[in-house]
Amino acid sequence: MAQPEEGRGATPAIAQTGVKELRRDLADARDEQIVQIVSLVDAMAVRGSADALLDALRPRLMVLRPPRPATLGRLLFQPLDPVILLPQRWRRDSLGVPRTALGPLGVQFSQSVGAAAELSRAIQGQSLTDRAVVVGVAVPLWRHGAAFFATSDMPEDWTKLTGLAGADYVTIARSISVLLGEAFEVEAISQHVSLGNQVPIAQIKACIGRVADAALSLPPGTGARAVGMLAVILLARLPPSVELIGAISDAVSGRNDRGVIQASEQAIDFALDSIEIDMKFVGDVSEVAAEQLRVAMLLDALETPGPTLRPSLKPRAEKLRRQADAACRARFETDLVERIVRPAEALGPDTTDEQVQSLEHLARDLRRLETTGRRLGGAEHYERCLRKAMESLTAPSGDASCLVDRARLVEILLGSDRAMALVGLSHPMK
Amino acid sequence: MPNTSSANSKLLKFQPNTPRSFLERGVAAPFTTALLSGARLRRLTRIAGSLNDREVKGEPLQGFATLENGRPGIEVVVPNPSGARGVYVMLWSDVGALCRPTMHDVAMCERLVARTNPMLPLTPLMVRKAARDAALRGLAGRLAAQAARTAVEQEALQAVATRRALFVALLKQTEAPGTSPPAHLLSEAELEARGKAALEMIAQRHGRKVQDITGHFAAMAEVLVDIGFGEAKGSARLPGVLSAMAMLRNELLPLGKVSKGESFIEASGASALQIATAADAAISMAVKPLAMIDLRLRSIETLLGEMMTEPRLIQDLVEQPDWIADGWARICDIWTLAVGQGSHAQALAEIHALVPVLPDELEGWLGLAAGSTAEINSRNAPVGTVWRAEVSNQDRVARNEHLRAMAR
Repeated sequence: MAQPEEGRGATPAIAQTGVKELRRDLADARDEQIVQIVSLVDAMAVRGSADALLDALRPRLMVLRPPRPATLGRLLFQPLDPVILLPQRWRRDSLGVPRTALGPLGVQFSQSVGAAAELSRAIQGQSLTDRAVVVGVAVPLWRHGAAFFATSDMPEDWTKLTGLAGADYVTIARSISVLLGEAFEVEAISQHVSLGNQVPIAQIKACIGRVADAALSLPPGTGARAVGMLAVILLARLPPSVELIGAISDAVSGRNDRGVIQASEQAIDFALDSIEIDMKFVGDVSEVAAEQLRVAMLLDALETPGPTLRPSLKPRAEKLRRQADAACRARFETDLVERIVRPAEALGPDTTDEQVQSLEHLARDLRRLETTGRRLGGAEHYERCLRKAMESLTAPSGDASCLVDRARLVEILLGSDRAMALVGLSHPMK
Repeated sequence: MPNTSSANSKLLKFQPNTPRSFLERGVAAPFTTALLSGARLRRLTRIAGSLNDREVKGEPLQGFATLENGRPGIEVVVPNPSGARGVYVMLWSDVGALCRPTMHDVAMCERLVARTNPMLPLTPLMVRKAARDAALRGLAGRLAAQAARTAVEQEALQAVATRRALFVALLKQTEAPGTSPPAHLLSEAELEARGKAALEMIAQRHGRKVQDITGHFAAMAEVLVDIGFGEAKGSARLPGVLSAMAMLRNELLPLGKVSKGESFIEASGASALQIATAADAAISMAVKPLAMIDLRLRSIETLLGEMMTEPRLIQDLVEQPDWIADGWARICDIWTLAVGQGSHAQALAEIHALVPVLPDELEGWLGLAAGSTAEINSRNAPVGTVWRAEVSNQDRVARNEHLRAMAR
């Protein structure tokens, strides 16, 4: 059997001529067409090479986020999302799992684990975002997955289906086993932090410690990779703060295992790689703002003097900051002028409620982007843009019937102080 | 503007949340300002500057105070931002030291300051009207303005339906059995004519002026709009709030039964159970005065006679369930919104801190054993349930405006 190219997982043998042509056609497809195609592929009983089509669309899917039905495989591997890589990005020494491996691994799990059929029925028609599904089905599913992949054997058609080497199976399956063993804990920590609570340092260290312990019984290199992958997952699921990076560093530094320490450092590189590749400058403003916030947090953490400081990363971090700052400024200015100020100047008696709500929604998104943008770079640009917007929004020439609508836009963008005078109000005083 | 922390500490007083009366607890106001979410409003009292000062406990109410500029003083009671016990209290006029309130909140409070009788306590009804006025101006967005317009229309229809139901009941109670046509089949004009004749008879029998009796009847009809009467009950606001509370309780009870060992989820489960228990207690307490009102309305004539000497009799009774349920409509709406958005855990943490504390005064209203409200409060008190979700202020304002658009 021919081995894949050394050091790189080959793309499986599905990229045939027809698919290539289709991919080219899809490059120009409209958003609604993309959503329709995804829904058609999701409905196929046997997807075969159609999956390769989705691979080509993944960057756009990350922006569009079409609703996807819950499937056993999708739910089983959901905890691994941050480390799942397109086949062309995957390297044998990277902290990732090639997406092409997931399909065959999911099928192997379903065919081998007795409880899979029942769990599969339980999620039929459900959404992956439903918390009850996560608690009721995902928790036992992840436990079964952890147990199964701890000892599973490579399926016969592994290389044919995935384009990966036989040795890759053990590395990937054992890493998945260890990570699924901690999936619920990571989910719980993430939920806890999403409520606004402090990052639970002790739980994070314990979680990494357990994976590092499990790593001792894994084949050389595999265990350290699992620790690194867990660090990548934690950095993606939690705010990438100094505290989090410090906790990861503390959890591994006490162990006399150079491989584990290196893997945890590699996780930071992985996170920076992801920023470089996936940084969103297009798409929904709120998504761009959320992405840029994570970027700002990570860069701040890496540049903060202390144990998390990585001087070797400084030039790279500075470059990323400049890129993100420039992207934020440009996006903010364009959207403020083109999508807020100009439409607001045209507000009149015929303006619908939906149009006003859409403007307000966008104004809030831009405030989010501005907050992050100020963190990435200078504030003057934003102040200058907002001053100009204020002049336009408060111009006496505007239609009087929409005065309150314009005042609300001023309130959202610049605060209630500047909006009140427009509607004859003043701040409470004694 | 006193924005320094020392200025804040002078203006913002931390107090235990153990009100003895509903007036001291304050009225839940639908603030949209992020930092004022879940805050309550009450009049500043003459005694020691604040009704809530510890040394004032047990003192009778001696009237409300005005500020140095002569304007009525209104206090804001802000839930502890940490989610734990206790509240912060400050004058509305000092609120700038804490935050920059939204246009909606400024308009709402300005209306309360400028257009309510400073000698009367703030009631849930007054705050609802002030908030509705602010929303009608579009200051909380077009959806909230539309909701306010719908509420005004609904209230007008409800007033007509309640008055009709009261006339029908009055005629059934006062006319000879078999009078034809029966009251419920009469047109509006016929019902008004026969109803007025019945009221004149009552005035004669009680030796009162007709306009006094008709005035009390009109006042009774107006007061009953919120709780409804007869056929108008199903569409009234307060029964709707109680139904929403019952639905909330029913949805939260199963969440309280999560498996042990799942620590973070378990914490949400405990919150769910406590909120459900508190909702259940509030419902069972609110229905008691409602049952009392139903009982009294079985003889409208007797009630009108009693109102000649006790004009606020029915109003006081109607205000009781309104005070008991005050704050729960917002809690129910937060939950409904969260269920739609899949953010149950965040909502549980937030509303756990907003569960209204029951004041001791309730024991007197409902004939409960001394200390029973304190016991219920201690069962429901959030203990360090910290809610500091990383939600930006503008997102919280948007969420609060969404709640205004759901307001009943």
